[in-house]
Amino acid sequence: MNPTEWFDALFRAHYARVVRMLGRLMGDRGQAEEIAADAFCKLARQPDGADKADLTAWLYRVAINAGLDAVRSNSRRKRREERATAASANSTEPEALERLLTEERCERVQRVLAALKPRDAQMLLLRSSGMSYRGLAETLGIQPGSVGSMLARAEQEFERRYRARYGGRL
Amino acid sequence: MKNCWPDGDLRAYMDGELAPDARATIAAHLEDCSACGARYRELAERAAWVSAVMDLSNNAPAIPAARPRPRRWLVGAAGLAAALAIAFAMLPKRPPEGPAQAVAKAVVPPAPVQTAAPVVHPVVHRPAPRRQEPGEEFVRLDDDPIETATIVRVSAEDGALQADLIVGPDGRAHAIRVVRNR
Repeated sequence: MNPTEWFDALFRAHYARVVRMLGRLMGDRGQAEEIAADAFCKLARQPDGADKADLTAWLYRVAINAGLDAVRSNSRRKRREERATAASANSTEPEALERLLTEERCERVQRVLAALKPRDAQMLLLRSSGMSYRGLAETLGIQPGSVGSMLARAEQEFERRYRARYGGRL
Repeated sequence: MKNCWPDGDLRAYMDGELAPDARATIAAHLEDCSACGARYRELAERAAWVSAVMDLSNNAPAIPAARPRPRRWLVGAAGLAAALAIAFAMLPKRPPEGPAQAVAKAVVPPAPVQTAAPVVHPVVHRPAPRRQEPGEEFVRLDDDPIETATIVRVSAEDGALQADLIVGPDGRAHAIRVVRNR
């Protein structure tokens, strides 16, 4: 496969999923597209001849880690923006309140995911994007038989950290 | 407890990700083993809870109404174009043949996206003069139905790299494809 073909193949197969997955993490489609584009930019710099499966796994790791980094660096700015939004919103408007609640839910999930081990966060994000166990194994570079146990552990850790911070509130 | 199953197998069973024989064996075991049954219910409740929490967070508006960023798609498009530019910059290039000519070929996306009176904005001022490589398919970025769309071509570098975006009336890119000229 020549350089053009392997990049095109990976782009067609994975670009939309990477954007969706990052959109779920970021809660912001525009920022998801920016990070996805940057991940594919880095993908393009990979040497020719690398194994396609390795490149796929690498791509998702880079995209998710960049997303998690952005979440961490965004958190302070977002909190500031949310306070400004809350101050300007009419608290009697149900729509404004619902929007604030939704954004708060999103940020809780972002904070917990960012606090997990990268592998656990990757597992949860990829699984929530609908990826099969086989796809998870290939993407994360693990044995297919290990996916169930890793997923169960990631979910346990997510729940533990979420409840420790926010109780059982959704 | 004899023949009890580890969490990982129970979790895979829950997702229907085991081979049929293993699935049948676990199903029979769960009928008889109260400990594994309780463990399975615990795992299932946790999985459902985690899924619900993550789905709720996913309902955040893509473009919050309180602080819209107009022409947001351009940010992603520019980033992608830059990314692709690097990809193509790595490839061996042949020298241009003949004079530059405008390339503004309208493309029709796959159903169900419908383009009414597609408007092409050829951002490229120095497009590659060779034929467009056929067979490039659009990559859908979401499943949102759109009644009208504008096809926007973006480019980077010297025009050797181009991408078409299908932009809906909401200003977001709904599909993208790489356009390569030979």
